[in-house]
Amino acid sequence: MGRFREQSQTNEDAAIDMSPLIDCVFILLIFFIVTTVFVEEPGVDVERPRAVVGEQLEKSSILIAVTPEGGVVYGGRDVGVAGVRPLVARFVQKEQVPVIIQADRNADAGIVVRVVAEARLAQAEDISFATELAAE
Amino acid sequence: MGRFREGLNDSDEAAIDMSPLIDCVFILLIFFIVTTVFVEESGLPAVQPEPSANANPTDEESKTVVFQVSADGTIRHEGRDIGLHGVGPTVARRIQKEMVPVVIQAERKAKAGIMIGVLDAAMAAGAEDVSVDARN
Repeated sequence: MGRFREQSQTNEDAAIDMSPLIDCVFILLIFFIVTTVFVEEPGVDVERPRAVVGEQLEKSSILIAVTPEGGVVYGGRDVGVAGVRPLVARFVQKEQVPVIIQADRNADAGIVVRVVAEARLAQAEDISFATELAAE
Repeated sequence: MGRFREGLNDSDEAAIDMSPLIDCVFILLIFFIVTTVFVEESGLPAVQPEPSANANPTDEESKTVVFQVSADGTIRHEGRDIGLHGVGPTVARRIQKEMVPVVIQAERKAKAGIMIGVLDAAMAAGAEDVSVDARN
């Protein structure tokens, strides 16, 4: 019996059974498909204000950053305060999407409040400030 | 030739060549791995004060806890500079009997970090209705 096996192995070309590998790859693929959310990140680094309270925010949201220089950034572009309303309105008219404002610690409060007001005018219902959870 | 093929198929097990499929799946897998961003944001709700439609606005106004954040970083409540540490106790005292709204009025040039700090402190003290507003 052992001899027979040896024979058959040398005769055929050595083929590895790939099915477990394929199963594994498929599972990984499905995992990544399910977890992927296509979020446009602002692409600027903001120093988030520290906060003790803070709830976990929705993953698929509109992320708008406010820089210390007064720029309002979405998807790598400076849209300005006036650009927030059409931007948010475009998303919100299909379905309610949360809006997250990443305000820098040193940004002007006036601009941040105006961004909130613009998002509100665009019928966004769920607007939040991104914070960094303070370790306490 | 057709007949020969048929014969071959019958004798062998019907084996489909899986390699193009696997290649394809791998490419999809790599695409999803690369595009996945894990957005983990914690945050605070950004609410703006509703224009009071109350029959007795003066009464409503007197109940509201107002904090003023000025451009130089001071936090005032009823004219006194209370600092960030004074916000929590003030809010806790005022909401003891009933849940009153809290309004944070930030000057346009005030830092967003301080404004959000006050918002955080008020929420940590147990306030539920905290809104931010800008003033000159």
